[in-house]
Amino acid sequence: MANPAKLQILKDALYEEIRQHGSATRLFAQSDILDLNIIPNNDLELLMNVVQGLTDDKLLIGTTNHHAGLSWRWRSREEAKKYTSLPNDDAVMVYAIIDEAGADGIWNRTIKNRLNMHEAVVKSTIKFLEAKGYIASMKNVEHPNKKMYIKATLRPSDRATGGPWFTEGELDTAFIAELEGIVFEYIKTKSAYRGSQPTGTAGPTKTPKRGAVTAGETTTLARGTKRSATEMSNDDAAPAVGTTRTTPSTTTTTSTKTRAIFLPMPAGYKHYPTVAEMAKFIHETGITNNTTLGEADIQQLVDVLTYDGLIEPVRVGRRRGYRVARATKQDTVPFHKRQKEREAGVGLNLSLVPGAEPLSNGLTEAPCGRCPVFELCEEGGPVSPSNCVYFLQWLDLEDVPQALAPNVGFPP
Amino acid sequence: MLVTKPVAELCALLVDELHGELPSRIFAILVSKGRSTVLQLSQYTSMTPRQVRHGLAVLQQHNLLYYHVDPGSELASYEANPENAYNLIRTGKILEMIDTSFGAAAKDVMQNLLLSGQTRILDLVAAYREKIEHAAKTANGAEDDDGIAAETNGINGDSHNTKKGALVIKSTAQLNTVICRLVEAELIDVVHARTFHTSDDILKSVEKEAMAKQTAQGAKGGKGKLELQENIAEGLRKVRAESKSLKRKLEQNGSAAKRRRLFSGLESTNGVHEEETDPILDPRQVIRINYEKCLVDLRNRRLVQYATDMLSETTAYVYGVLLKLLTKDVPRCRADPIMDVGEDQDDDNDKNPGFVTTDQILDNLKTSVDLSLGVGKAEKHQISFSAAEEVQLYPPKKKALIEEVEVVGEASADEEEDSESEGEPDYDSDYKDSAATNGTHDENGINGMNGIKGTNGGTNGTKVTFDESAARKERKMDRPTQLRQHLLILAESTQGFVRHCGRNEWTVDFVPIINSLREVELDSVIERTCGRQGLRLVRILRAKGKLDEKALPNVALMRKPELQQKMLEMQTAGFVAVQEVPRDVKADVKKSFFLWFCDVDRSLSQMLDTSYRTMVHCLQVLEALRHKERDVLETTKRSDVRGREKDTMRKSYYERYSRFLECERKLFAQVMRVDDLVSVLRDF
Amino acid sequence: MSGRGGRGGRGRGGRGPPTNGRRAVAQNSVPWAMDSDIVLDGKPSEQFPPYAVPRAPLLTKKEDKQISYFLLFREQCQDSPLYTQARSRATTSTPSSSSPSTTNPSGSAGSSRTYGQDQLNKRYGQTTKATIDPFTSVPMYSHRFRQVPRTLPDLGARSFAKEFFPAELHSTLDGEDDSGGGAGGGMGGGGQAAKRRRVGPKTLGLSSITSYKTAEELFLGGTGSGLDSTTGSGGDGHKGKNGLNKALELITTLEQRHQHGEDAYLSGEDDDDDWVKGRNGAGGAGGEEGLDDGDSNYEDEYESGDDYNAEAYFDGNQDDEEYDEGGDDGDYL
Repeated sequence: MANPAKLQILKDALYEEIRQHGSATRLFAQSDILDLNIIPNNDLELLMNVVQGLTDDKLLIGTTNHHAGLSWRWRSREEAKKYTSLPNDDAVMVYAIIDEAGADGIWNRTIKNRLNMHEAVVKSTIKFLEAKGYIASMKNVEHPNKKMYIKATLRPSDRATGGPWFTEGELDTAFIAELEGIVFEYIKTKSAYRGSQPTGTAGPTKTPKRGAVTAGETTTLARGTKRSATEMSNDDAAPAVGTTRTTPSTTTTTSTKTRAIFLPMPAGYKHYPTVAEMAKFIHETGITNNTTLGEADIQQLVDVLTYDGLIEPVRVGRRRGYRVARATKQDTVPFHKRQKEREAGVGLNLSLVPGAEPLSNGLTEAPCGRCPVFELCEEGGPVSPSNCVYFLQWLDLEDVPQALAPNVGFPP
Repeated sequence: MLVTKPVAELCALLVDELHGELPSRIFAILVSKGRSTVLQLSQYTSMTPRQVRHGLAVLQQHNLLYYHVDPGSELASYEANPENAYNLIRTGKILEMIDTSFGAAAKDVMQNLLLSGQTRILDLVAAYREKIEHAAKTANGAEDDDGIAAETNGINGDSHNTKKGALVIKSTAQLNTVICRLVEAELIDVVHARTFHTSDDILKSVEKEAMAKQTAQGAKGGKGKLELQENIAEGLRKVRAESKSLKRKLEQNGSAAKRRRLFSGLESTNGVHEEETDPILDPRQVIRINYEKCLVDLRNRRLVQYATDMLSETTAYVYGVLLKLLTKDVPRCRADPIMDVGEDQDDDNDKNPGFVTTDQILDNLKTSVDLSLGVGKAEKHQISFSAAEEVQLYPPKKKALIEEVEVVGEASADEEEDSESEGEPDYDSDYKDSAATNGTHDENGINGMNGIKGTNGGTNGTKVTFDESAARKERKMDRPTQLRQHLLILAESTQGFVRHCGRNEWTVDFVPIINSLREVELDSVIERTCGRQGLRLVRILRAKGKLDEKALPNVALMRKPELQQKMLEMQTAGFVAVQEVPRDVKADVKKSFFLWFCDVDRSLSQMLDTSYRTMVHCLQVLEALRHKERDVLETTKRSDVRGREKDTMRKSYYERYSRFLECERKLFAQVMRVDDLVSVLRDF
Repeated sequence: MSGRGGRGGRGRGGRGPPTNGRRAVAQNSVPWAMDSDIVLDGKPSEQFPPYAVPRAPLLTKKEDKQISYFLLFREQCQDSPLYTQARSRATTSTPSSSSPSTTNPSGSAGSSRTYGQDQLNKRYGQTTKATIDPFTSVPMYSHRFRQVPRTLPDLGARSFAKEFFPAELHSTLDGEDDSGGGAGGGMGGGGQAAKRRRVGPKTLGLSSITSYKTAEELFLGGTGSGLDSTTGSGGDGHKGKNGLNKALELITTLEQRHQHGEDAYLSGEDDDDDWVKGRNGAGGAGGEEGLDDGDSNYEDEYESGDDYNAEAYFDGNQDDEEYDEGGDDGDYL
């Protein structure tokens, strides 16, 4: 019965069969294993021996489950080898508990508490395991100050890393901002009609168009054909996206009478871009080379843009798309191009963020609107309208009054 | 109108600016002390009763008071009318509005009416007659007056250059016509016995009457109560209608529409052919400006501006025409809670602005406006007509303040889904294979730049100039279709500018659209104060309600410390608030939830208060400047300097004077801009 | 943390004494512990901390128009007989605002805080003999051109729809409210109310001010584009029209306000070069003087501006003085 050779054969056969029947996370109850028909005659004692042997070899992991009672998972041979190669029980226990924690990782204090080990032992063991390359330290975004460990072969879970938006435990705001720019640009060009309008119709409220007026034969995004010199020189400074697709601006403005402008689409337009389309687009551009962004991630990004007031959801029929808000106020030069210009020192007065200039009103334009001492300001107090320096600045009276040119002021 | 300290201060400053110190002091006291008699006022202000009486007379003449005389008593008690005092700052806007929509003559009449306060028509006519006669007398000796010829252009642009000396009103008949027009437009109404009673007094007396009637009839119980309510509302409406008596009389004289069209602003200036048709107004009537109706027109203009900001100028122009037609008979921006809830239908215009048809709008569009502008081009197959043309019979039930995402969420789900789904995602091909549906549109896809409209030289300097397009031949759509496009865009807009309330019928739900405008104003203050990320956070809270601090970074995609700093910044600014919810009795901070939320109404009322105070500050800065430059200003008031400052003043003085004038303009401009905001927050 | 600190509501909740837990927590959950960029200094903040003041926005065409209309309207208002020009508030208009009660420490124009109606009332009526600057209040030539502020509205000049005024104001509206107090009224006697001091019908005069000058127009004034220039009496070139119109207005004014031979003032020599350099003809200047007379009253200029006994003054002058209100300056205290 206790033939070691036979036992070994059974062990191997059972292990292979179990691996055939599911992933490393599947739990096999006793009946499941018996049903594999490896153990002859459903010999329970033999089964026990075989399973015990496998467990000792670290090829099976026994767990107790509320529903199924005692059950097992399999472990790969390489992994098992790591266990067996460990010099002492301490190392095995520590490694096991880190293994158990999986992709979420585990805090070193938790290890200490759970194993009831001396801190020094835990420390040295961890040091040993780290040196062997079995485990690695990691950061968890939810607990940035805790020292966490994870099996070296695993990638930290999204929960631990915070998902695709995190790089080394930090929210990668630069990456996010860049993607936001791209998604916004995409929505803008797909949801508004790029036309032109006689310049004469520029309303009085409109800020004067700065920068070159692009006469637009180039309406949709032309993919990286021509690049201007300034773009070339800045390739390394900026991530790949901006440079791969730029709209070459035809600086030779043929007709000065019109200017390019985005116009709202007619009502009932059916092709406002959806999140799925955006995800596909982002995937195809390959900007996110080592992170994969799912639709949910893009949705998150789109939601942020919506909250920023840059885009708005539209539902036409069953299709839920997004369109740019305040289309006519949008810059017809793509945002990335503006960024290039900025790097080249052009158009530094333009806004740093995509989208139209925010609206303003009487409050935001007056010194009082954001005044830091507004609450204190009162005639008779130390801070009062009559001694307000902000107002003097606002009225261009701050400096020596005589030095002031008389014709600063209003349009006729 | 809630009269807070800054409001009171502002009103006093405005009265001071326009009517002088004496009335201003009395007004300020009336605001702070409430209803007072002459003797009391004299006591409060340490002025003689004689001064007080003079001040009161001026205030009363300019509609800035209410008063009440107890029967049998000689003494009256006075109360301030802060609404009208506040409205003084709107004078410039109102005059400009009248100038634009009714012409220079109407503006002139309104200006003189404002200047003299409530006025008997007789007196106004006499004053004009005198002026006209003088002009006639002197014109004989002078060269022919081509100033008048220039006047016809007056409404097109600055009337600056045209109004010098030339008479805008050239005959009393014209004056009569102009007054008729303004009365019909309700911009002028009639002063009647109860005009100067406070609404409380009117309510009380009407209640008394209704009670007396009721007890005579002897109705009791719940039904009686309801009836009483109705009677009161009825009585109040009757009082209110008294001010419109002149308008009613005019209407009885023949339909106003027959005599002239509302939109032809040009006609007013050369109103020769209208002279005979207008009935002569009763010269004994006393008339005054009706601010309520002016506000309706100002609201229209603000909404047009809103549409310009959000959509395009052409669409906004169409919207303006629609609004004008729709609000022709809307007497005020906000319905009165007592008077206008009653269910009787005799003047249901008060409650419901009704609707305007596409044809009506078409009839009133300027022919010079090119409707092909301002809308993108799309192929037929790219458009879901069922979704675009969807009719919404009822106004939205939800408050628009929640979040746009949800408002848009409801759409026609059950209508012809197949037509929508057929053109699903493939956008690359969308713009290519259009030839099949409509050959002529071939080039007009999103790539086509055929839509370039040549400018034409004949743009005249009206508020927004629309070119008659040179590309007329290219136009494929007929004008009604183009108009529909604009209307449908307005109806589909996230803001809900227009509701398509029936086939070719359009209406505006003012409450939600104004709410959304308020929110936009708040948002721009937030964005300008706390940046785009601040706005993002506020709008997240608005959409999701209360949110745990820990949940925020993930939604907002912001780093935690930055986010917390932003939240604190906004808490200080009053845009958001936090609620601490302890998890256990110990109320350990670490274990407590911190729920952020934003109270839009609170933010709005805070913004209103800030607005008032900003206006006060601007005026106080002006006062300080006047003090600083008082020697210069005194000089300019000298009789030998006035009118030819350039020649008579020392250069440095002169420069200081002109700089002061510039600052004065800037400051008043700012006050008026803030008033735009106040209007949106409080009055529209 | 002193004992005092525990009592005041510190922290977010502010209830109960501070616990240890609470204090320990503060260490990493407050923003300045997490963000090293925040520097806490104990210094009191500046009176005007540095702050990026927004730029004053440019005016749109429409706004420009609105403001011009408003300012024109204001000019007309201030020109109207109902406007009380006089400023008795010490801080704003009196040249001698050095009285300690009204200037604030920073020496600016702002008035000090007031804590009651009495204090507020004291701000007014500061233009009295006692506050007059001995240097500038001596009669000087240039004072002839200074307007005398009207202290009470000139109600008698026009008609009113009296039915909409309370009865007690009716005599005031007629311009016959001489002295409500009664004490001084005895001098005038009961018959005063019956007297008609005005000849001719009352009319509602339309304002003669028809334009408002912007700063630019003032500067371009030399070209005559925007300025209501009255130089010359309507003869030469492109200025002619303006001059003519102005002249028409002047005539109107002259006729409206039955005016006395005040022209005497004009005969004075032009010895103050700085101010009257540009004057080139007595005719034009004369007309202008007339205009200004419409709302000013020279007799009172020096003598009665601070006269307390207004009624006595008034009664003494009424025969040759049509603007009775002018004598009431003293009331305004």
